[in-house]
Amino acid sequence: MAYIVSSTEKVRGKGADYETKAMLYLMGGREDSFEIYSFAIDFYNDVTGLNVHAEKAWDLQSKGNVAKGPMEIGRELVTLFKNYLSDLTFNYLILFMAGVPDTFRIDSSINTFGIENITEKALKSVRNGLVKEATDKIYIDNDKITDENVDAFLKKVTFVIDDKTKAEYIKHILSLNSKFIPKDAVLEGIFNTIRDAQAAKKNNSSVEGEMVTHLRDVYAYDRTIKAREIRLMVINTLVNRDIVGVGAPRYFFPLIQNYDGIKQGEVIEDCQLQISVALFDKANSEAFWDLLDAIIDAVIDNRKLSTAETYDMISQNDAVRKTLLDVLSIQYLISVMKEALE
Amino acid sequence: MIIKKIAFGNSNEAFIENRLTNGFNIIFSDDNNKGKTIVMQSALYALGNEPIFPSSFNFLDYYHYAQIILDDGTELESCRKGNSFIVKINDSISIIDGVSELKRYFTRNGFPFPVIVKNHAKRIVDPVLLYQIFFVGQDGKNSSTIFNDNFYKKEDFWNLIFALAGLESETIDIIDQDEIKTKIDLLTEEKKVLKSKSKIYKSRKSSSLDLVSQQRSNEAFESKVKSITSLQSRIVELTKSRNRAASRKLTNERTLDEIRSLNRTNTASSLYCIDCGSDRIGYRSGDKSYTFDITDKDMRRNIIESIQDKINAYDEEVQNCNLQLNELQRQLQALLKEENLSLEAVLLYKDEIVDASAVDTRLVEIDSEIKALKASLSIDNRKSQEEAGKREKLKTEIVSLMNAFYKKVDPNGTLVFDDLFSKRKSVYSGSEETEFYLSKLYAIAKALGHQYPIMMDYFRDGELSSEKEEVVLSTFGEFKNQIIFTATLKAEEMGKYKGRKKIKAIDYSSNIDSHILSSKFTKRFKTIMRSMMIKV
Repeated sequence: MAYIVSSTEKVRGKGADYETKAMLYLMGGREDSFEIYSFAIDFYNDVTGLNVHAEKAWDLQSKGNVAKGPMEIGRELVTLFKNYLSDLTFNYLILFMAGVPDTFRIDSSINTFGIENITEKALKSVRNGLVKEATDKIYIDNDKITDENVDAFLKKVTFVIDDKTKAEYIKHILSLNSKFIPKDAVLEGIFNTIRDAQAAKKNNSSVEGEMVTHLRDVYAYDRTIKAREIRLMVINTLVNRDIVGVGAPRYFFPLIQNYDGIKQGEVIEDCQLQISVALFDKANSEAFWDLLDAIIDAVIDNRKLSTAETYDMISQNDAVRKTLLDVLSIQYLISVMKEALE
Repeated sequence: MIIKKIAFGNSNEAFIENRLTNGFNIIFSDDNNKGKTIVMQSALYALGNEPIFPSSFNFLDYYHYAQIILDDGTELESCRKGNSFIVKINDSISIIDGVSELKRYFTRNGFPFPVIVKNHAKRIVDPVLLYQIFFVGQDGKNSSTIFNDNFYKKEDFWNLIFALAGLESETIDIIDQDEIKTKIDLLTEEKKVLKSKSKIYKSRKSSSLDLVSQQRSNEAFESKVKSITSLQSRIVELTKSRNRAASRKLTNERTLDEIRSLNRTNTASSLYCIDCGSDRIGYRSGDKSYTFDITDKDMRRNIIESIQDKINAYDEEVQNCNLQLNELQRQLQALLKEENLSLEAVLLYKDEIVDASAVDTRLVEIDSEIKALKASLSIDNRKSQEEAGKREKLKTEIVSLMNAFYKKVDPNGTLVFDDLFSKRKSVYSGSEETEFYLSKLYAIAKALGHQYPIMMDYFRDGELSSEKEEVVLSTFGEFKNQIIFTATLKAEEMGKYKGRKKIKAIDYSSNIDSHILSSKFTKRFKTIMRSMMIKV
């Protein structure tokens, strides 16, 4: 049977911040984060993480304001419950919340938990809230709202309470040489860029009522963001934001040893200027992303190689052939990335 | 700022000083010529200072290195040879060409250089001026002015102090804009006339060179020719570096233009039909596989600012070269002029040179006048009463601190200071001079509360008596700043600083006379250089 897309939302505002936090939580806050390849935005749910072939799904509902009571939390579970009952398999069901009432948890120091950490009284209300909301919604078949289903569902849900600032979420999605970690204001700027991109996906054509049979069918709609491109954007923004102002990475020096001191400075400056031009060149932005992607891949997989050897590895890559940067500038970029990712 | 390590040398010989503490350090030895001055000068030379090394030390042959800790705790290493610098902050290495770029780089990276108004234009002060706030060298002292008073004058030193205290520079004249514009027009006119009329000017270069070569056989001219040649080679060198700076400036400017023209969105978008046959038309942003732009607004601004910064640095480098070039050319002409030649033909040339030199000088004058006038138009020249009052107050405070310190050290002394400088006619000497410089260092540090290390080479110059020395040591000991003093001790005084809790005494007596450099440091020196990506 088919899965019908429903209950997508159009409201924006403070909620959008939490949806981005939720996505970044999936990207960097879990032990299995590395498995998540892309995110479906406001399609199955607020955010749904998918692995590389879209065979595994992390379904997430976010709640931007602190719930007044457990009943309200129960009502928020309804979209997760709907997906649980659907023909598609969602491996993880997550409710991401700004906060919970004081009496909700047994151990209030634990921010990621299942129902075992919810007080008996609260859990009862949660259950009531969920059942009531599910009964009200037309997209859930009332016959399926059985005690058995509800209990099994609740056992599967992970509750996550947001405990980090926007800047911290950005820091958690990648490990970067600390000298490239800027002030929180810059990190917040990056957070906002991601949020806006995420929000823009929602504005793409309406998907309400669309019918899909596989998780992967979401790729037919322009509603996904790859974890990789977010990571790439963050690295690029952090590392290249001051490409001209700062000094050259030490991995670059072996390449220019045959130049005299003054000429070395000029070579470095030329590389920096060329890269600046590439960064501004919107018409060729895709070529630049491809190149950066290839470089970062090569650097991470071959940390022991020198800059020149890393270049040799990717020299046949299309990304290198398409870019307007010259050899030394690409090698400069490799050196920068080597330093940033060490 | 704390100086951690000082090193200099080359592949054969080197010296490393890493014993300095964050508190009070005294470097001493039993005799002169043990290298104390070289160590002090080398540290600041590595950081961009104009050095006054002892003449026997050929500093241009060596790499000079200093490691410092900035006020925010960042570690900065700087290595210099000639006019090239390599600076390492947070593991990232920059090659810096010239002091103009260096001071900007430092300013951007947590070691700010203040801005003063100089020749009617705002200018980031150079290390040579800034370091005088906290450093007094052994040689080149003149109590009536600053050290190295070529480009900077004592008014600039005061303006620097004001800048460090957060006050505006003191500018003398209030400028009438219209008047300036008229002046510029007049000068530009004069320049045109001079240039077109002076054919001699155009032929000057070749004739003067001929003149030099014709005289090669004459022994009496040998030494003259030598100095002329050396002047000329310096001129050639300077011209080279000026041209290089100019061409780098152009490269940066071109890039900036290119970047600005690229900074437009031109990703194509397409309208497409969602349900074939239906009238519903959706919009999708151009079919791109990447969601994000490569740069955001912040990043673009950052990059543009950095490039603009570089352009300013190169521009200043060009101007500095021009200033020096003008001076050298003046010297060259003077040399040629004073030569009284007997050959008729040469006499003929000589007249030409003399004429040409007058025209040349005037043209240079006009150029710099126009430049200064134009610059004055662009600065904001509000001269508030309030600022003037604050400056006066700070001045008075510093001078009275100087006098108080002096009285404390030398209760019977007769000097009364009324400025940071003595009158031109009454230059201090001997122990008076030493007391004067100590008072100055003290007063500036006390009034500004600055964080720089306080450094004085040979702080007992002129036989400062033991009682006075005690007062100096205890008074300077009150500062939280790092202090580095040097002293030459008499035989009976050896060991006098040992066992003092507050003072770290560093003994240089065992250094070889007049040769501080030694091969035992070369291995460690090479390691330091390697970490700076320098192959010695």
